[in-house]
Amino acid sequence: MTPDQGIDSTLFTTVVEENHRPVFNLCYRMLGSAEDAEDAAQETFWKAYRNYHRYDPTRPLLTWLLAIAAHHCIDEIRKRRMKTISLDAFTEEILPDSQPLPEHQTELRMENEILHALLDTLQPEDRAAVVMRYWYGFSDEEISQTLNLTVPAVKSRLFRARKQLATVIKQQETNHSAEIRRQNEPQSI
Amino acid sequence: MNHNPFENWIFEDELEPGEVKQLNAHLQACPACKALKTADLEAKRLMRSASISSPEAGFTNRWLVFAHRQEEQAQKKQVAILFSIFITLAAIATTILITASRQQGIEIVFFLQSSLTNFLHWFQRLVITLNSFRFVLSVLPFRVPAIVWIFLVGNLGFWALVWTFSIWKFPSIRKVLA
Repeated sequence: MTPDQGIDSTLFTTVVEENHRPVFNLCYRMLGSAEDAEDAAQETFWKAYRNYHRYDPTRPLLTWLLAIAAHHCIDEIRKRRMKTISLDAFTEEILPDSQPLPEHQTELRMENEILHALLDTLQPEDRAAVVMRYWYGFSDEEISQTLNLTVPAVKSRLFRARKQLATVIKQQETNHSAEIRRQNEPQSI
Repeated sequence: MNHNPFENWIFEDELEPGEVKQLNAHLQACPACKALKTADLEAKRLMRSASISSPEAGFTNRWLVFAHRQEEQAQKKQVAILFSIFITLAAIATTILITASRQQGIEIVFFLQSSLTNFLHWFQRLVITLNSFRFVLSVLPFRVPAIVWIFLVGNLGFWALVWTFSIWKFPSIRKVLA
């Protein structure tokens, strides 16, 4: 299927079928909730379907779709302040049954939760750049094309994002250590 | 302890071998920067260990339903807009027919006609002016001697330099312009 052809939504389902996983993942990492990610991914494919004539076939289709998804998510984040999802809500969304989880799975979910809380501290564009670098292995040039930024701007955003993430983790570690020290101190009467 | 530039080098991907050596030496001696480096590695580990998430099964089918609903909404919106335009025009026409006398009706028609004529006249003048301007631009470079061009461009450049220098030199002017 080329952009010159008349696009039928049934034909476009092939595009959806082949690319929905990476698009959903980007939306999920950007928005932090499976429900919001589902909506954003559907909107992304709808926008792509409506604007398929604008797609440049010399570029990879996935890059184009991720660009649409990233811009949509950035707009969404700007529109509404992201709410921090509680662990309970997260578990409820992902796990339909209430059976106890194996320990490593619980650990993974906890890590996921920490990761989303960390990503939540970043500016929307910085978050998009980080997701593209660490989940999709995009180069600076690819990120710049996808987010309509210059390469130095991408470098600067990634640098700022990494510094921010490390500072938050370091702060959390410091607080955690202080808490443990306080608990271990003998209580003075 | 001075953490610069090491605090920034921790997050740089493209360091010279000498800089890497200096950074490692600093990390050995500075617990604060070492903690920051450890935190950076932890952030990277968290991101690299997180898998690609998938939506629940049946995403494509749900998208088809979504697309169908969006198409229906778009069609409804289009029909609503056309209908609103038609109703508005019909309401205006009916109001004119009911309220205006025969004389007023004629005046309205004349007003519309003269407005259209004025617009066409104005548009025609715009096109003529643009054509004249284009003609002058195509002829002027050959009619004016080269020495005059050099003088004009040189003069313009000189005054631009004077202007830029004065703004740079006198902050008060910069403030006024800002």
